[in-house]
Amino acid sequence: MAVINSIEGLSEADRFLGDELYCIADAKLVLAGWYMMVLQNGRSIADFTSICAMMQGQYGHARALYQHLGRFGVTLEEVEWTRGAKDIRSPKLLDRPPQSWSDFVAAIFMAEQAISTQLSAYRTSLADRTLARLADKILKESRFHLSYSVGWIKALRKDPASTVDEDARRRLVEALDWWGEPDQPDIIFSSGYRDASDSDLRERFLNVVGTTFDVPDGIAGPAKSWRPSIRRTGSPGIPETLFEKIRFKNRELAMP
Amino acid sequence: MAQAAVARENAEEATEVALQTRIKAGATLEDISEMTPRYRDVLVATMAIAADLEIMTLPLDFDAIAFAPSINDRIAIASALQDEMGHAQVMFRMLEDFGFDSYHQVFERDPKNFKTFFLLEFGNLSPIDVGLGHLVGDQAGYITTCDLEQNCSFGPYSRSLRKVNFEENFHVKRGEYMIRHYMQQGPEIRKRVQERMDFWFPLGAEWFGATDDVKSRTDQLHYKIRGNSNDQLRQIWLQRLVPFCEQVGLKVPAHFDSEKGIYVLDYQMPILLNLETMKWDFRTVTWPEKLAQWKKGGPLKLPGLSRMQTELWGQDLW
Amino acid sequence: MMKKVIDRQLELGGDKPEFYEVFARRDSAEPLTHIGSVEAPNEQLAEARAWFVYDHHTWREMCIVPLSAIVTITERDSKSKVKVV
Repeated sequence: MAVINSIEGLSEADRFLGDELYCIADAKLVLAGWYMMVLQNGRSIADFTSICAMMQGQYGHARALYQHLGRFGVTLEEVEWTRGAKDIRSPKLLDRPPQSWSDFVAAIFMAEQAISTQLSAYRTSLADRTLARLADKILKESRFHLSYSVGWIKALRKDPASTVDEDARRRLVEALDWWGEPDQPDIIFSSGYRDASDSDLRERFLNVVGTTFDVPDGIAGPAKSWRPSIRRTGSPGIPETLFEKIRFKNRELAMP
Repeated sequence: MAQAAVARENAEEATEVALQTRIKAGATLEDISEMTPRYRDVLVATMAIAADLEIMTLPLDFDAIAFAPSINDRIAIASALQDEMGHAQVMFRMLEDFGFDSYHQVFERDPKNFKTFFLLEFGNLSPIDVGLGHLVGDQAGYITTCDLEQNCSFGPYSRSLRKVNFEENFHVKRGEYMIRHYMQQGPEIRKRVQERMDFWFPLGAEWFGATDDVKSRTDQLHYKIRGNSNDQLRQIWLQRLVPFCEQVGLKVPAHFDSEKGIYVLDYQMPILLNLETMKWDFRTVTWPEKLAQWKKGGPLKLPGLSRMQTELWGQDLW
Repeated sequence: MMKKVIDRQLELGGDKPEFYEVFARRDSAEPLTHIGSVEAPNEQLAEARAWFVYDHHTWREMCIVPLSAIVTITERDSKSKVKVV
C-alpha cells in the first residue's frame, strides 16, 4: 500500500494530513465510480443528466485533491495506474453495492454528507490556505448533490412501504466506520490543519443526518482496529469486483 | 356526399398551401394552434426522431465511460453524455406539449419502436471509437441540428437547439483533438484508428439518409422544418471531415471532385455492412435492402435500450 | 433483470409530471431569462436537476418557478403555458 512516508522531512502532522486527504480523495473517486455504475438505473432523463454531472463533480474534486497531494509525493501515475484494490482508501460505506434505488439514495446521502462534513473542517485552515480554498470550492459545488439525494428521499418517503429509512439506518452504521473512536489523539486537529476534531466531526455528521433521518441513540462506535491512515476498521482496500469496474483501462489511449 | 368530401379536401388543401406560403415568406410558428395536421405530423416525427437519437447515447456512451483511460477522459465523456441527456430532456419536454408521455416513451415503449440511427447502434470498442464517434457522428448530428436551428419554422424547436448546438460543437472539437493526438502516437495506434475509421466513415455518410433522388421526407422542406436536403447536408459533412482526415493522414473513401466542385464518395450509396465481420461491402445495393438493414438495427440497439429500462442492483453491479 | 416501474404519484408528483420553469442570468448586465424547464416531484429535486441540466454556463443567478404558479396572458388557449425556451 502506498503509505505517505516517502517524502523526507514531512512532519508527523503532515503525514497524517496527507493520509487523511488521500482518504477523502479516494472517497470521492469511489463515489464517482458509484455514480457511473448506477447511471443506467436512473429513473428519469433528468436523473441521467444529474448522475453524469455528479460523477464529473466527484472525479473533478478527487483530481484536485490528488493534485494537492503532490506536495506529499503523490502522483497521478500512482493514483490512476499503479494501485490495486487493496490500496484504495475509500470508506467502508461504499464497499457494498446499492441494493435498490432507495438504498442508492440513502448511501449517496450518507457519503456526500460524510465527505462534506470532513472537508468543512479544512475551510478555515490557516496552516494550509490552498487547501482551505479548495475545501471551500468543493463544498460549494457539492451543495446540489445533497439537494438531489434529499429530494429523492422526500419523494420516496411518500410511499408508506418505502424502505429508505431502513436503508439509511444500515448505511449510517457503515458510514460511521469512517470516524474512529471518540476522544482519541487527533494530531491533524491539534496541529491546526483542521478546525474540528474527528470526534466533533462525527457529531457534526450525526447532527446533519438527524435533520433528514432519525438517528438512534447509542449508535455503535467502531471496533478497536480502526486505522487513521485508511479511516477504516479491518483490512485495507475495496472489493476486487468493485475495483475492476471502476479502475481505468486502455492506458495507451489516455489523452494528455 | 362525395361532393362534400371533395369540397372538404379542397378546403384542407387550401389551408395547407396557405400555411406553406406563409412559411415560405419567413413566418415562424409559435404554437400548435397555428399548425395544420400535416405540418404537425411532420414536425412531431422530426422531433421524436431527434429525441430518440439523443436518448440512444446513454447505452452508447456508458461503456466508453467505463473503459476510459484516466480521470480526465472519464470526465470528458461523462460531460458529453450529460449534454446529450440534457438535449433528450429538452426534446421530450417539447413533445409533452404535443401529447407525448415522456415516461412512457423512454421507460415503457418497446425498444424495437425507438427510431435511432444505425450509427448509434454499435458498441464502442475503445477510446479510439469515442474520438471517432465525436468526429464522425457528432459532426453529422451537429450539421443536422445546425440546419434545424437556422431554418426550422417552429420557433420553440429552433430556439431549443441553441443550447444543443453550443454543446455539440465542443464534442466535435473534442473528437478532432483526440484523433489528431492518436494519429501522432506511432504506427500501431495510427493503424488502429484507420481500421476503426474504415468502419465509421460509411456510417457517418448514411446518417443523412437516402440520397435526394429517392428521399421521402420532402414535407420537411416544404414546411421548412429544415432547410437543406439530405445530399446538401451530407456535402457539408464531407467538406468538414474529408480535409481533416487528409490533414491527419487518415484514408477515407471520398475525395474532392474538381470538375463538379464538390466532395464525392468513392462508392455509390447505398452499401451494406456485414454484421458478422463488421466490414463494409462497397458493392451498391438497393434502397429497400439498405432500409431493411437499418430497420433490423445494430447489435447495441435492443440490449442497450432494454438496459435503460431495467434496474440492476447488488451483485449485478459488482 | 428487473423492469423499471415508475410510480407516477411518487416520482413525478402526479399522473402528469410536475414541471418547474428555470430562469437564470450569467452576469449583472444580462436580463433574467427563461432558459428551460425540468420536471420533479418536489422543490429540492427540481433545484438539483435544474442546476445539473442547465450547467452550460456559470450562472450568476438562477431560480425555478412551478409551472402551475404561472398565469398565462397571451397563451391562455395554448397547450403549452410556457414555451420550452
